[in-house]
Amino acid sequence: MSLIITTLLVSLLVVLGSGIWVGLSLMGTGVTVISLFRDIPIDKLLPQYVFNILTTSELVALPLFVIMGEFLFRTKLSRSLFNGLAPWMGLLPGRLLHVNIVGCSIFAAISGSSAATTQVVGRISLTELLRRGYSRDIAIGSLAGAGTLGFLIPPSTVMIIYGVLAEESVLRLFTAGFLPGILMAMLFMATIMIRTTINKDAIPESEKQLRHVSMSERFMALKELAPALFLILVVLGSMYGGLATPSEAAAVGVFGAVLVAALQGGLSVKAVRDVALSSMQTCSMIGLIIVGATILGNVTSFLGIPSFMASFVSELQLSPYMLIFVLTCVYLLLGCFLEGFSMIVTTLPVVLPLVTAAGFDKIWFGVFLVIVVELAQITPPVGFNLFIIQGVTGDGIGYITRVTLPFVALMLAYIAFLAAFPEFVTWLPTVLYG
Amino acid sequence: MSKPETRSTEATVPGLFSFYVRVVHWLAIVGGVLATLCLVTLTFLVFAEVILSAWTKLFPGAHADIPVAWEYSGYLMGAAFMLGSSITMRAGGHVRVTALIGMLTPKVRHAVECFTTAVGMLFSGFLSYALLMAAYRSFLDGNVSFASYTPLWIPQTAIAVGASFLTLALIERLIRCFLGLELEIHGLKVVSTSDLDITKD
Repeated sequence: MSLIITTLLVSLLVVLGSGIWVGLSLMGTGVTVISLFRDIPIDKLLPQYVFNILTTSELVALPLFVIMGEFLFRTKLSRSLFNGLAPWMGLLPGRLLHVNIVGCSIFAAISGSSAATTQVVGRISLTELLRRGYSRDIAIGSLAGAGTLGFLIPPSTVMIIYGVLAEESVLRLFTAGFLPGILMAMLFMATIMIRTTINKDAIPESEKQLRHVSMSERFMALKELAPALFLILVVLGSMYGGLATPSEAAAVGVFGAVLVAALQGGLSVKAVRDVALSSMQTCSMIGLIIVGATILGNVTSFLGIPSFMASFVSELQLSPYMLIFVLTCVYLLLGCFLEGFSMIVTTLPVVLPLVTAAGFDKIWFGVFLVIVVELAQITPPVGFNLFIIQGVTGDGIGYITRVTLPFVALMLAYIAFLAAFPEFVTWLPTVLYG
Repeated sequence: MSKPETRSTEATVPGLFSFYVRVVHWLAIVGGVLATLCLVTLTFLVFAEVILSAWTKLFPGAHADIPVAWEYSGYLMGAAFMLGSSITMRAGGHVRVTALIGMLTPKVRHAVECFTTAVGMLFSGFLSYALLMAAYRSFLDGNVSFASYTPLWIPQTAIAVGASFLTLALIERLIRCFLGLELEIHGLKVVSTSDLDITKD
């Protein structure tokens, strides 16, 4: 068995490391390894695996949320989120820095991607914050931190993929991510308040006047938030209310996003063409990874690797916390080379049995994985969100990484909290769906 | 956003290859257009199903639904994923680990690119072969789906054809690599949420 596992790991490392496309790497490695060690007609089984996964109805939510995201990306939501939130956030210690956090939370509730969240919120709020003279460190760091809420607060493309591959209900996962997402946003806000109270220079003196905006002006500003709140109601409301499945909610969300884009005058022929082309390419990109993942997953379980690993780890007598600690380290390391989707799908067939054997809930582990993937998005060298921020501000990756570190540390502590109190994740889905 | 790469290709390579380049180029575009159409149909199909089921909830007497909505949306999704994969490959949209090969000198990197393209082509070729054979077997056996008696070879062929286009694109990429030409067609790429290009408002 150890020969099989070594062969599998080494060939995966070589194939992935040499730059072969992730989806093809996973598929090719799986096929090669099983042909070496077992005499089965893999060419007859493989089409079954591929066809089954590519036509899974729960997965249909994925392309729909991708399309919705592409439309939202071309609306004027960035500007309207800032205008709607700024008069209110001026009341809090930390002032407009909170626009980053709350803006990201709101956008995360209509978008499934953390890169899109960082980008859409950042391109207005970051520019405004820096122009007004807020602390560069906190402005950039908090955006990087909050942008990751895109995956945790539902809808979330990572959760759809996890749900389909782990055979767990996507709706339950979407529900489970909600409270942890809100709490994480609140932690980020608390951090901003503490840091700006200690360091008075973080906020320019002139921003104090934001407290004296009239209440009527504040309420007038709320109508700027209407499009975003409308979309949240349509997508999350219909799902949590039990009116729609995630896929149905996503389809309604697409039309909602088209409506918002059209009302804001963002629907040119070129924009629609770009939406079509880029959604199609994003879907194909994810699709190929899923194809590879399902083949590798089936092959590893055919070889008996998951149960072997599970018994191996239980012999080590690791405490569940130790296991989570080790896994966190492994994922942080993997995150240096792989982006989020690839990281989850590559490791899932082996890791999931380990974690369930150690007594963790599959829903809980899904939320854990999402946070770990988010961490990978904001740690170099392949921290996707860092590059997006670099595109907005033009700072060096080293600097952006350094100011993001406090938020990374916070997220790591948050993982420990969730491991200690798993009920915080599983409570809401249990209450809602039994 | 012009396409100097394609032009230089046709100027410097033997006639047969430039013909093949054009064929692959068009197949990728045909695949991309079909994939997009699948996505559009999928969106409308699921949306129509939502509207109809809401209608049924409002007026329980007037029952209306699309019985095949779930099944067909799955087929459309699978077809879209695979049919779009060759144009995505040509646009450089598929994910790969570039952290390590990024550290190589241009010459070594070029050799590694040839190697990765060749191996990728073999993997993709095997996938296409297996999918095409399965679709053909299912056509011969007359397999149909449980839910609606839809002949399964139809969606299976769409998926297999998508994979085959990807293999053809990888073969083209391999030849490009040997000839030392540009590997990705930048004109095919658009700014998207999964992109690093920034458009400010």
